[in-house]
Amino acid sequence: MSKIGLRITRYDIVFFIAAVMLAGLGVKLGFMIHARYHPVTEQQKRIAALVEKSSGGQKVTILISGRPGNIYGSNFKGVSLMAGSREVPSCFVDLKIMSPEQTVRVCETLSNIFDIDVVELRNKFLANQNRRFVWVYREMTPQQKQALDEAMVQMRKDGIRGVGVLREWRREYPYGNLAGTVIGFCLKDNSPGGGLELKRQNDLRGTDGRRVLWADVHRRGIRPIVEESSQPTDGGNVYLTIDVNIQKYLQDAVAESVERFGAQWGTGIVVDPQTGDILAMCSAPTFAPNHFNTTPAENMLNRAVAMPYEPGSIFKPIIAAQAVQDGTMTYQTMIDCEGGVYSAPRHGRISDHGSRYNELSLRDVIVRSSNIGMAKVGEAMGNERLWQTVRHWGFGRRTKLGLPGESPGIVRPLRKWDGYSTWRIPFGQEISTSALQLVMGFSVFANGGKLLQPNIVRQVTDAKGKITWKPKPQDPKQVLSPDVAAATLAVLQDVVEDPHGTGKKCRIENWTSWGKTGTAQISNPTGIIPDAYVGSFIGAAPAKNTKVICLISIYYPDRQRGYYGGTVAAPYVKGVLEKTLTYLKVPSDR
Amino acid sequence: MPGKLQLVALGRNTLGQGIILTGLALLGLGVVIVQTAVASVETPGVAWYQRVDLRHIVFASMAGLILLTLWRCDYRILAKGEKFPWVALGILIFGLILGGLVYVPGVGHSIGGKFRWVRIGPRQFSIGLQPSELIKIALVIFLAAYLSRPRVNNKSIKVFGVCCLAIGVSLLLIAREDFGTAVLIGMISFVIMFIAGIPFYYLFTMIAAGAAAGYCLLLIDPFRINRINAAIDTWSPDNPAAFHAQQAILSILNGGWTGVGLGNGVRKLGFLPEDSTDFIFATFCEEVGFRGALLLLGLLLLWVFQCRTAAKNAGDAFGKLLAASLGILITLQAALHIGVNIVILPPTGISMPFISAGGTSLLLMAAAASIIVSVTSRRVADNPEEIELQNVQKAANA
Repeated sequence: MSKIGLRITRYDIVFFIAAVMLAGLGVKLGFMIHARYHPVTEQQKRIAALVEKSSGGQKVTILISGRPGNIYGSNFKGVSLMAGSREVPSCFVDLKIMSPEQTVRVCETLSNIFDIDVVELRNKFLANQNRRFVWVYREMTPQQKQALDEAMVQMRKDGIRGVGVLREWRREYPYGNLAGTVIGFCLKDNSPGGGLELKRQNDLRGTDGRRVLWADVHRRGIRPIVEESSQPTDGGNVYLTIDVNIQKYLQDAVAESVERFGAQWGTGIVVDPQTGDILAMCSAPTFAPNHFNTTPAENMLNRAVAMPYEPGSIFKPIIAAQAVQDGTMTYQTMIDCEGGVYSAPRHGRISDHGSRYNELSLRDVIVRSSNIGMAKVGEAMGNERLWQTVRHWGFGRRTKLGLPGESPGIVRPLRKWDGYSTWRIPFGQEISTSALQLVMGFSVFANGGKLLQPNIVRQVTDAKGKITWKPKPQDPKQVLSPDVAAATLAVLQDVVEDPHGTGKKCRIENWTSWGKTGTAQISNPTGIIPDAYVGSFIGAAPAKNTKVICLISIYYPDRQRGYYGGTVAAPYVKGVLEKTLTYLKVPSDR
Repeated sequence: MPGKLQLVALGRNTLGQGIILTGLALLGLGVVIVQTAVASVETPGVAWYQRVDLRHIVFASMAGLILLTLWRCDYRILAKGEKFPWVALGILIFGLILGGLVYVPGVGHSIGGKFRWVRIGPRQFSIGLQPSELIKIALVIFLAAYLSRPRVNNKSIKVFGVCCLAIGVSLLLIAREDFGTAVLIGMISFVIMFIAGIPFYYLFTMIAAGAAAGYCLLLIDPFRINRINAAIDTWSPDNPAAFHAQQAILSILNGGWTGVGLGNGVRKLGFLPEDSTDFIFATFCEEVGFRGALLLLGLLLLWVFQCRTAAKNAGDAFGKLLAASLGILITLQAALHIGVNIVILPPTGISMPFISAGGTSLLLMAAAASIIVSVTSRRVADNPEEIELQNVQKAANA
């Protein structure tokens, strides 16, 4: 006792040192933290910057894709779904978190469920050994999903965590290839690949929602950050003016003609000339958006707007109507048609097909489609007025219909026009137009002289049905006075009704109709291709208060089987018009 | 002499109450901080009874129970034996045997490549022990008991030799796998021998031997040199051992003066290694900041003063030495832990007493605290009248 009593100072020393040690640690800690807020040395500044940089922690963001909206076509009663979205589960694996034995087992299980070759799948896994995300199977069926769910429960029990399911939206097109070139398609990740899907992607695509989570060092989510998370919103719906029934009539007609005449391609448009609404628009060969990946790229082209070609004689009434409007001549003005052959220096040589004419009225020049007669009209108008006419009627500029890849056509600048142009522009050579431009031009005769803005989208709504976009009200350009338009329409009616008319094959039993044929040669940069023609017919009915106007152009048909517009297109236009008028319940006027 | 000591009820033993409350406060802080440190990282495929956070609650409750009850056992039982403290030696030998089991394949269990644990029982339900914790406390008790024997000259070479033998065997077992704990044991042994009055010339010999042994251990494992470098030049880019230190500093500095708030720490999300055990002080600092650290240091200072008072007022020489050495052991361990966390010491695995997750450590630390309380509650009954009064009261109660 006494011994320890003597050494009591040793206790005090030890405890004093212990207390000082703790206090010292506190002071050191304080200096450390102080240096973070007020760094002095370079080292301290670097550390302070590092702390700032790392203090936020890390977050993971999981995207939840919003549903892409629908595209609706019209029908007699309401709307038809032409493109929609379906939620499909897809399977992926995280190969990095699985051991080799687990990978082998997962490989066997999944190859059984999805009927994939085991070796192929194993090679895929081996090639991506360290990847955190590898697709195994996209868009599984409900049966596969169920089998996978059961397998995943079992795998979880055995500690395998690397298999997962993601839900994706898959674009589907219930009408198959109907209006495929207009609607376009979406790739597997829902990025648009063409057509309205591309042009209207901002309306159709929903906004992605996001789940933001605090993450640990392995980027596993710990807990959600509600303030930064958001729900996805679904995309809007696009309503088209295209009527699925009329589209079907037109598409079948064009496809049949292309096949029967062995043509390279064909295109057709049906338009309501009073409103500018496009009721149908097709190309042949066409494609089914569901099978975009097995279709050659050229079939996806919407040729009605994207492929300009020389219109040929179809162009004549436009120039003639402008000549009448300008007072340069009337439809009764007689024109010397030179007996079928007309040539002059710097103008080349032109001839009429078939018959030889001497004196024809302007009406007959249109009805019988005389090239020489139109060349004389061109001479009377002069190059500058011709050029103004062409531009005024909307050729050489895009209609702004709202489809991708629209071509303005080819109208050469006025300074490049010469005597050849004076003669040839009036009957539709040296100029290229798209089918859409031609149809809109012909609508002028049907609606009292107004050049309308074509529409293909009737309205756009958001996912809840609120209208977010409507086409601007028509602000048409009056290119003809109503009586000149009516007079031209009467002449065009004779093209179909007159026994000499070139469009006799489009005469319809129950309705009065009008139209114009056109046959143009196809040229390439080296010159005119022999025996290559584009045969077109534009027809409309009924003559009074015209309801529909239809253009069909057949490009490069086999010459042996027929190539005149009156042969390759007129009968099909007639069929489309008949069916459409019956479908629209337009009363017979004959 | 033992007969003269009287058991004092806890109600009248304010010092004992204080020590118990300090221990409970530290345990409470530990429960809170381990929950936030561990609950963050989901470890999939772990049954509820294997989850560190739930186990920590269970162990902390058991530790609390030990703190509140074990002090009733008489500490003098540890010093039983007139000539030699056989009981204390028995505990030490038991600890050493367990320590030896660590190296036995199948029983020994490694975490982070270090064999420091013994696992007994079937795989899923096995119970893990960390023998170094037991050896640490058993050695302290043995030395305290051995050096406080009455009528023994602590200046003799024989006493010093026995002490060195015990310390040497313990260190030999531990040092290879657990350098930090070995250093701690060396230091506490030195402190006990210093308090107990071992002459300086022996102590200097001991320092020299310890330094030589430490240097040899450094030579054996070059990784330890990396760790020392990590404490000297923490931000050197080419030192793999500096990662722990860097993360600890980032944690503490991210907390700043006020901390980022409980549960909001980001370094614990897998960046700071051993965030619930060897680096729990850094986690603590990140979430509650310097203020929280001051609270913790305050509790530890309180602990130091309470232990000093306990040692000063102890009824016998063994009690004095025991209370002082156990108190210093816990303080020293806490100080080393904090030193490692704020990187003034090389990174090494030293847990925070009462706070770090880990069952063995919690229970044994609670037992150590309880022994100190036990020392405070046996006082010399120097007033016969008071004893008489107590006896009368006891009789009346009966």
